[in-house]
Amino acid sequence: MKKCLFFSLPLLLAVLACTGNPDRFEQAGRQPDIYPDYIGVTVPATIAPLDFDIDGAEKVIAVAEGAGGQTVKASGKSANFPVKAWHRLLAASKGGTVRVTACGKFDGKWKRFEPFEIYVSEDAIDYGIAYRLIAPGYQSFSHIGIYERDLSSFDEVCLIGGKNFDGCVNCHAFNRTRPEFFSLHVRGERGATFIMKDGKTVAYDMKTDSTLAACVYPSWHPDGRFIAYSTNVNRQGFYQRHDKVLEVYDLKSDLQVYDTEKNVLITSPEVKVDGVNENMPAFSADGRAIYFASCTEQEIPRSVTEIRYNLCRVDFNPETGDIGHKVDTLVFAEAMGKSVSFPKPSYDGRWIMYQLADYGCFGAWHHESDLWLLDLQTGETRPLDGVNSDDAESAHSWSSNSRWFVFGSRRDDGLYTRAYLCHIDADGVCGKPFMLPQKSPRDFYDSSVRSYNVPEFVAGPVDFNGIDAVRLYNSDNRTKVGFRWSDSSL
Amino acid sequence: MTRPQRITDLSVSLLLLVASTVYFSVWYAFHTVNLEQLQLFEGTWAYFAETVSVPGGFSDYLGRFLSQFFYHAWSGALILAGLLVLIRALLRRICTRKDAIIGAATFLPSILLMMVMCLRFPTVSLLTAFCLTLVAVLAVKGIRSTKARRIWTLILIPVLYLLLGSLAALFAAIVAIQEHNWRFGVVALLMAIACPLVASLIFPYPLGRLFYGLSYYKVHVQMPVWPWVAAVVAAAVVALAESPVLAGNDRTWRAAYAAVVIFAVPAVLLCSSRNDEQSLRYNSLAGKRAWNRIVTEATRRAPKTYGETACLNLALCKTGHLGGHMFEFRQDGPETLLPNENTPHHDGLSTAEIFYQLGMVNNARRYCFEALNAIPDYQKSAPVFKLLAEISLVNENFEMARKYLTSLSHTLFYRRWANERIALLKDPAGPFVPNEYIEKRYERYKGEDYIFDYNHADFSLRQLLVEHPGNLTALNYLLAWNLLQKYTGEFVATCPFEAFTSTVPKAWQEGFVLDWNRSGYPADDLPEFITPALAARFEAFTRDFNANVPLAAMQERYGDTYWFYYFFK
Repeated sequence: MKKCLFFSLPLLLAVLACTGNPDRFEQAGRQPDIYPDYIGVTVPATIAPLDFDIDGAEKVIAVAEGAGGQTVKASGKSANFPVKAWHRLLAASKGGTVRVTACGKFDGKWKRFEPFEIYVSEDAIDYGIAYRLIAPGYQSFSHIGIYERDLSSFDEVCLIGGKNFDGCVNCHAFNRTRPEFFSLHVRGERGATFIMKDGKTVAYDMKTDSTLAACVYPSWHPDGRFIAYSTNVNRQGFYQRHDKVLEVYDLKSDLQVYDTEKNVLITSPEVKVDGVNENMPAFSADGRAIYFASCTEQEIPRSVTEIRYNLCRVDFNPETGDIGHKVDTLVFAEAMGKSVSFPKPSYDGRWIMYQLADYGCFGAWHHESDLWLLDLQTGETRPLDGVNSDDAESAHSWSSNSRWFVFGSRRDDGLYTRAYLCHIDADGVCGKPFMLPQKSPRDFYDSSVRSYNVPEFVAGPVDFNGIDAVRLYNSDNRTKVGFRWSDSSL
Repeated sequence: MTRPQRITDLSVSLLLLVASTVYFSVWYAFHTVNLEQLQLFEGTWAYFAETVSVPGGFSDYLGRFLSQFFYHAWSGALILAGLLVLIRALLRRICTRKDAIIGAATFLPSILLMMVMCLRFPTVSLLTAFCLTLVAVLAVKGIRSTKARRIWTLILIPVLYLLLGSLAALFAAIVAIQEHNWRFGVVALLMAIACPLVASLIFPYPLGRLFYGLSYYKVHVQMPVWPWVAAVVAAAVVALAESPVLAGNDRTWRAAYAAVVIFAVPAVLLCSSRNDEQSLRYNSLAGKRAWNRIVTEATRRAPKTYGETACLNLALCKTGHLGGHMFEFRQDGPETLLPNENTPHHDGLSTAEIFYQLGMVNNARRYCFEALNAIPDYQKSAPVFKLLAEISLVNENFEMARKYLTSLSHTLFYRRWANERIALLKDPAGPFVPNEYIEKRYERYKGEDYIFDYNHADFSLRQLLVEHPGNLTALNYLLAWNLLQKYTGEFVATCPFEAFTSTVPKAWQEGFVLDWNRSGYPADDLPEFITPALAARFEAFTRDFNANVPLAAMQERYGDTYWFYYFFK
């Protein structure tokens, strides 16, 4: 430690001299208050520069020093590191640490802060993430879009929506990060479920006479033939106290599986039970089970605080598409006075990550909503203490190697969800999560009035033609789907 | 041009300048102000970069920059008028022939553009794009070498498309017309057509919008044709000015100028909507909390829509006249008191203001977001951000307040207000926090949480009173809600008649008397707080009502009473 300090001090002095800025500065004697909080985070070697601001500083100078004494410098209103040099630094520091020393100028005087470290994991991360950007709005909507972000740079591409489309793009899902399998539900007058597979995008009308409504929360089967969906009749209500905004709740919901080869929706009496709401399905890593959340119907909205979902499992036959007849409860959250939502199994089959809140199914609006991990080997379940915050954690998703997960958190300001990435090792030990990097992050996030909703990893760029999809949306071209009951002999 | 022609030309230009300034600052002032309210121009590099990153972005940035001065109707009107006159002057200068008929014709595009500015969602960007396009034409025209001029034209077409948008086609058309070379003309026009086609491969916008111009109108469905009619007319005028056939034939120039003026008046009126102007006036005044002005406005022009009446009711309440005067204006049920998302013609911001004034801050925030989502070109709105910042300060969510205030601190007209509040954030519990926020913190509901049900808004209003009995806005709204819902029993049970130190407000007395009568109590036993005149009037009302006096006569005699509302609405 002392050795590193010994080396970094002259380095910093050299940088300060080169930038022509401070010739004297005082020691702050502490680490800086930086935004976003990147102190002690674990990052992949290919991540975009972790640019940051120092709270209250007029100017910032920062030096990141990696393995072998490589350094990258940044100076200005924010510490914005050059992308290429940053990547070289991280590539050289894989498995080690990058030490960042920063100075801030406050009221014309420079302060030098104690250095902080960033851990560079050896585990690779996927190409990027895709997410929905959405402004808060409850009855009306505008400027919603599905975007793709390259994690190694700051490049963001709009896949559909944004300023070119008036539909409400909704639940989206890729098949285990594979961008060639894409399901997207669009609400609105011409609502449709878009499914992209084998390079072809089709708009489906997923409502049948035998099912509740259109398909909502999707999960692809690993082999890409089936997609499990919930079908929901949901509503939202607005709280009277100021500390909670709203509640999204289901009047009714069921599960169903769409067979993309036979163009048929399949459900079974076990996941379409009267008086029970089944929701948020997710295929297991081997594709032989579906995990989902399930609760007893309550009188809505009077008993909204009594809505408690448990984490359940049902078998699935990937050869026939049939759903098993026995539903197991894996986490009986009701007994804990809690409610499970959005179970997401890791792709290595070891874990299920889910949200746990006091009640309800939409954790994003619950400040107490946290991420929990269920060990499928031991059956042990626990909160992700180093990951969770005082505010809502929600909408998590695994990387293809199950060593990273991305999730939405409202820890910043309690309203706008930001995307956070986190490392998790083979034993389920998590690093400190870090906010999706942006250039001049304080300015960026201050001016952004949209939430990062349902971030999901993608292994490569998504080849989805949003303009064509909009054209398809505006046409009457909808493919109707069939329906069949599952063979209960499974 | 002869001297009289020059004088006439100058006079019509002045007329255009003065008439449009007066029109946009007096008769159509709230449309003008509304252009500023639908945006939040931030003087930051990030805002500039985001705005200019699409075709037409530069003119859009310039338009937005100018729109911030629409904070005051007079400055907005001056800018609009100035741009319209400038467009005309540029076109006049571009035209080869300078005779009076051409001079008169060059007013037409400006008049057509003025028509666009009278629509509901115009943008100043259209005018800036038009101006800069004509400036570019003049610049190219100044190049003497034909070859250089043509090369520059072909270079400028895509550049102008990127900077100014689709009006690059107007540039191409005018230059092509004046070059008198059909081959070059075809190439220039094909290039102008190719620009949006190429742009569609780069920018994720539908082709139709790339052809129309991304920022020429705020709404991008059902876009008006007038901007392109103006462009076609501009090109036609330039073509006319090239025509040798009409050269020198200016005997009818007086008629031409007169026709332009005569055409302008109905054309502008055709695109104007006095009803929209009135709605915008009420909404804008409610947003500025100009309660007395709203009441004055209502006495001049009574509110027509649910949203306007809701603004008026709030203003009456805040000036202490809700109980006294609400039924003097048309009431159409509880939605004229508390609009909801299904209420026709309601405005998100003024609805948010109603809830904010009541202390229902969560609902206020909700409608602020609805107001933002209602902005057709997805911009932010300074007044909405202002209210959101206030709500965050009341809610003691200082991080959120800082976010909204930071955006406002980058603006010209809201900077001071925002900076004063940013200073508060350093000591949010300190003595400099405005009383209004502290009061609102008391007024907020702090009891056991529950989900708001519009149909039972009286329950929520009652909860506010339980929380803070001094919340007079909530009390007045609860009383008015019960009356509008025709819950007279609830009204009587709630109204603190004995607490009034002066005369009980008229509507409250009327509600009481009606309930008294319907409960079968004798009129002679009416309590003292009912004035004899009101009791006598009720007696007359019941007599006429029982005698089946025609509705029109009843309205004439009792249209300002709660009784009329109760029985005939």
